[in-house]
Amino acid sequence: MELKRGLDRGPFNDEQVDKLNIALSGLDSGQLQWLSGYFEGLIHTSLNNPATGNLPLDSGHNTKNELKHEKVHILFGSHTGNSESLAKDLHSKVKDLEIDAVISDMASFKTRELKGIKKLAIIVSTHGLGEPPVQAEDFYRYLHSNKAPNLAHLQFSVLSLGDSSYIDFCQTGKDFDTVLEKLGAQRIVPREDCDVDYAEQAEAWQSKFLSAVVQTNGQTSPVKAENIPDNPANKSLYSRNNLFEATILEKINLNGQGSSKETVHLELDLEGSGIKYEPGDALGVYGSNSHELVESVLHTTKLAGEKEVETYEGTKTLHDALTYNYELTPLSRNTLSGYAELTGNKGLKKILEDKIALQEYLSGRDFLDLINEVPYELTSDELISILRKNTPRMYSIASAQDVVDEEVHLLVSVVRYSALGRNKEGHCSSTLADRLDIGDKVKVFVDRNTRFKLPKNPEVPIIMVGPGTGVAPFRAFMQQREVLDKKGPSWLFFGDRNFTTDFLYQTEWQQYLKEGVLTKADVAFSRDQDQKHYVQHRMLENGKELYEWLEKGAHFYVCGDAKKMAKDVDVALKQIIQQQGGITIEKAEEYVKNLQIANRYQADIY
Amino acid sequence: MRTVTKQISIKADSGELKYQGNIFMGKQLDYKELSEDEHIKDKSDFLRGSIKDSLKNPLTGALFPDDVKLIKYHGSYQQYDRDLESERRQKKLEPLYQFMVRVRAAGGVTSPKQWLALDELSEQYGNGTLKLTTRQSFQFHGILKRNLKPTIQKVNEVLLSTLATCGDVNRNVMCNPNPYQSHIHEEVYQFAKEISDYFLPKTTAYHEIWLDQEKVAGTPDFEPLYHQHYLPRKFKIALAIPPNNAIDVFANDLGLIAIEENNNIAGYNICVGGGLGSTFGNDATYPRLADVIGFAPKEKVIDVAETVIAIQRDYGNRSDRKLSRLKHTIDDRGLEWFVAELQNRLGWNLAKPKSYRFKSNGDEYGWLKGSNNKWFYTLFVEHGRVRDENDYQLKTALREIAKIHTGDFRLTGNQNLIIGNIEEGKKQGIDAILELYGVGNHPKLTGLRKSSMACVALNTCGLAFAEAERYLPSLIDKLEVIMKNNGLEKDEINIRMTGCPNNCARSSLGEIGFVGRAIGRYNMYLGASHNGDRLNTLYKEMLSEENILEELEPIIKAYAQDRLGEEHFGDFVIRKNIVEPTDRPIRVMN
Repeated sequence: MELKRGLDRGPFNDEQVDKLNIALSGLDSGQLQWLSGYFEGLIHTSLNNPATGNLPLDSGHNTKNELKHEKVHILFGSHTGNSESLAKDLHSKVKDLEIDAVISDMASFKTRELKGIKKLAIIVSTHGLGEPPVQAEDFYRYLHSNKAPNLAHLQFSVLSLGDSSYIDFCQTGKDFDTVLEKLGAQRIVPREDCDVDYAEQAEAWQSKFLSAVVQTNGQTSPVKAENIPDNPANKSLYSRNNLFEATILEKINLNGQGSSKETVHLELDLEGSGIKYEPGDALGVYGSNSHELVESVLHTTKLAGEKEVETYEGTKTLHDALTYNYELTPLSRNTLSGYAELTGNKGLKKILEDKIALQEYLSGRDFLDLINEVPYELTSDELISILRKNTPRMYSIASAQDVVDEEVHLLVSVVRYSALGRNKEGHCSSTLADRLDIGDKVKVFVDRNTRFKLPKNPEVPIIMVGPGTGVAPFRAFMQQREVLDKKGPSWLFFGDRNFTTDFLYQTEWQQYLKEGVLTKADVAFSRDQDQKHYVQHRMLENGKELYEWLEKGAHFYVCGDAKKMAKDVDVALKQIIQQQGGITIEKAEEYVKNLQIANRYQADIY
Repeated sequence: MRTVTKQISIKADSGELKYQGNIFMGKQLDYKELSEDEHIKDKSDFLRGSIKDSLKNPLTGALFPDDVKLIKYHGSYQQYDRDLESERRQKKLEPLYQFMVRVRAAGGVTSPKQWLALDELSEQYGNGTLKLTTRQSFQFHGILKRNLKPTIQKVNEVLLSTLATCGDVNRNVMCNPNPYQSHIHEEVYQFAKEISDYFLPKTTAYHEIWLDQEKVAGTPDFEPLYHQHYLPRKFKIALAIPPNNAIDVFANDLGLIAIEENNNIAGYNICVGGGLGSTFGNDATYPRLADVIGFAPKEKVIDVAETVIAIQRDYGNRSDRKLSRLKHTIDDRGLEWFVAELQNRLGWNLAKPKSYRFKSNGDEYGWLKGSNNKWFYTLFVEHGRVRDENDYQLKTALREIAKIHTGDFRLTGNQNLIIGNIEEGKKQGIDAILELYGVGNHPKLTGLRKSSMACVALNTCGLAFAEAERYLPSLIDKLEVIMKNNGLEKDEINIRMTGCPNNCARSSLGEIGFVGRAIGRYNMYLGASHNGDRLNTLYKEMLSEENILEELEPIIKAYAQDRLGEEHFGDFVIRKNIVEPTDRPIRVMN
């Protein structure tokens, strides 16, 4: 009642007051507090959004008549599922505008439909070294081939997702953007390139796109609140935009003494967060810079750590900002480019113009190397303006909540190397390995991956290829299946360097085999003999049986290194299908393509 | 309490006669009463088991459980690094399984070429060290499963073998290596080799599994002596040439004492029933020295040995492995019964034992010229561990010697090494290498340290309750101070330490003997003879290092003051009633 009285005083009509009252009553103070932050963010977005405004409610009829010609097509090429979820989000927003919309993944999209499409939204991620996700490959190739049609009738916009620590940042999105224009299509909203923390930019692009769709339809249709929050009662209060601080419960370097690797198993406490995840999802984790590195940067720049600076999270001392808000390693292209601008250094500019030179230059370099090599008196504001905002690293979750309940387990390969005369380390992995201990807290959020999931039917056989930390989600898969009475066969391919020290979760796999949760396991250790053995060699040795599994409907999963392993595994898979199926390589490729379309070939590669 | 050994004609489920003892004592032993090890042997198809599959399984560094037992016959023990056990469990890694591989060399004699091959293998696949054992064998430690086969193959390439260095068969045959009388030594050594070869298992399993030899189709395996189930327990043979008893002849199931007459070997005194292993808390187990039951001319000794083994095969206890050595077979039925059974089977009687005199069971260090005019250098190798340390490059030195050496290398029963049969002209060069690497016997080496022996124990031996090899040197550091304070630094007192009562380092024959009870705790035994013919007696239990030093200091002091002439420490503590003499003296049948 009190709530209603308060709302009465607000700028709402009676109906709105009633609805708000229903929605808000029963929420506890924590939830209300969360909502207050949420609305603040919403207002911020709306102010930048020309499509949000008070629109006449009576033009609905007109709109409907024109809908037929203005159907919006949304195509996504997803790798981990982010593009997919953004696409779905957009889809529902378009429909909220009472505009007809169709959503499709690029793999199952039929290119002949292109000629009938008037409005197209493309949401696509980039993976590997500037390559399209597997799901997008065919469509990408088609548009770039000489079979590509004239698309003068088409209006489009591209939202591209990527990771700015890679040189070919958002390359796939850029390529789609360019090729569509080349084919005659008109860009209705400029392309937006999103970094790992894509939420705000993606939302802004969506608003612009919706607004353009509405405007180009020549109508003023009612725009409903475009950010209807999910019902908080069913969901965790925590998200990508409201990070949960998880306590580290356990931290073990799984590699035995004498190993050349360092792979940390972490168990984090989610108690009270309400966070839910599924096997196949990833956990976003925020790292920090080491004290030594921050001090070195301060020393070189001759800036005082105590000096206050304005960060995206408010006023902080420069020391804290450099530690928690910005990345010093690895050196990103944008930082280099910003520094080149500031310094006007011709050498750096030249490097930036040449892709190969750039790649070479960035390799193994961090920000400290740069400012040591090219001295320049930075102000503290200049310094933070060119640094990359601290971005989360995604780790495939290594546990299932059916078994670990309110915990989440991670498997993190600690990156350490020496370059340019200094010891370097991975930003986030070294945070977890060196700067955080049991009892400490770390900021996390769940990054859903709808593209890497166990089959809905638990009796479907699964083949899991996961060398190194790629084995993490398969531990989650096994945990998920271990609690089931009926489960299909499962087959693990694991590999690493040395058997005695690097067999990650060895005793658990042995136990799963003993219990029959895991049916079969094959392992390859590359450095135990003169010739290097990898998982794909084990696959090929077991080609006959592997093919039989596929023929019986097995789902095939691969997780881990994208640069080499996933490609080798893909080649091996096709080779097996070709040989065992007695078919041509083209047919084998088609077989694999069909597996992908049927979601029976899923990859979580990085 | 004497138990009647159960016999041995077993009907398996198939109705086929499984155990075919030569003698049937009227009672059929139920299959279920046989020990687990007997079941494994029974199913093993002449020691094959599933070893081939075990080796192929890539998910574990271990073998399947049955194969863990069977691989012993092939010369290897599955072990794991006990230092890393709990750490690895936490890391979700299985124990660091690794294999000890034991190489047989009758009498401990190898050529320089063989030495080089073993040296290389220890670097390539082992932990970089070679262990010279208390039974004149070589041991590699730390061999991973995947390297077992190449290791065993390379051992065989240089005409050595690992076959039957462990398991319920006759093990490596020991022989006095010290050439007081070179001509006799050579003959005894050749005889040791003959015995060693003669009693090797005949199964071709070894050659199939390790040397990739095909089993010849249609040829059934045949073990003329061991039969399908081999022996109830291990069997050890040693040959001694008085006055040296460095191989501890009485600690063996069958000991042969060479009897010299007119500069020739006339034959051997036959000693049976030695064995030092026991189990804490099981009074039915005990260390026992072999009894001297007679003399046989040399041409009949193999016959005697074969018959002794056959009696043990037929009468040894196959239901309780702790009571299954020949000593138990003899004690269960009586020594008289045993001799009668032996003579009955032989069809002739042994002669009375000839007189013999052992001076010491230790080694004599340094240069010695044999009667063949060649030189022999006995090198102190602390606890038989050949390795390189910063200022002590023993392994490298021996490698360099092996490269120029034209004679042989001989392991002693005390874990030391004799560089043997050195030509006069090569002596200087070998001396120079020893000096260069600083590994020759140090002039300050004390009598106590020279007379010390320790088994491997932690971190690889699965049986050890306490440290031995890794600890005894530091204990001796402290005892040396006491010895020196009492003017005894040159006196040789046998001091031996084993990590468990299985007694690999023959602690029961130490004038001071330690048997590990728990980490840092030892039972201390005193009063063995200096020549290996009398066991020691328990002095005190569960002593810490501090206790040990406290207890020994006054005894050593008293020994320095009150010893009679050259009286040995072991004899002194008996005379002074510090301990009772053993209640298990050697019997000599006259």
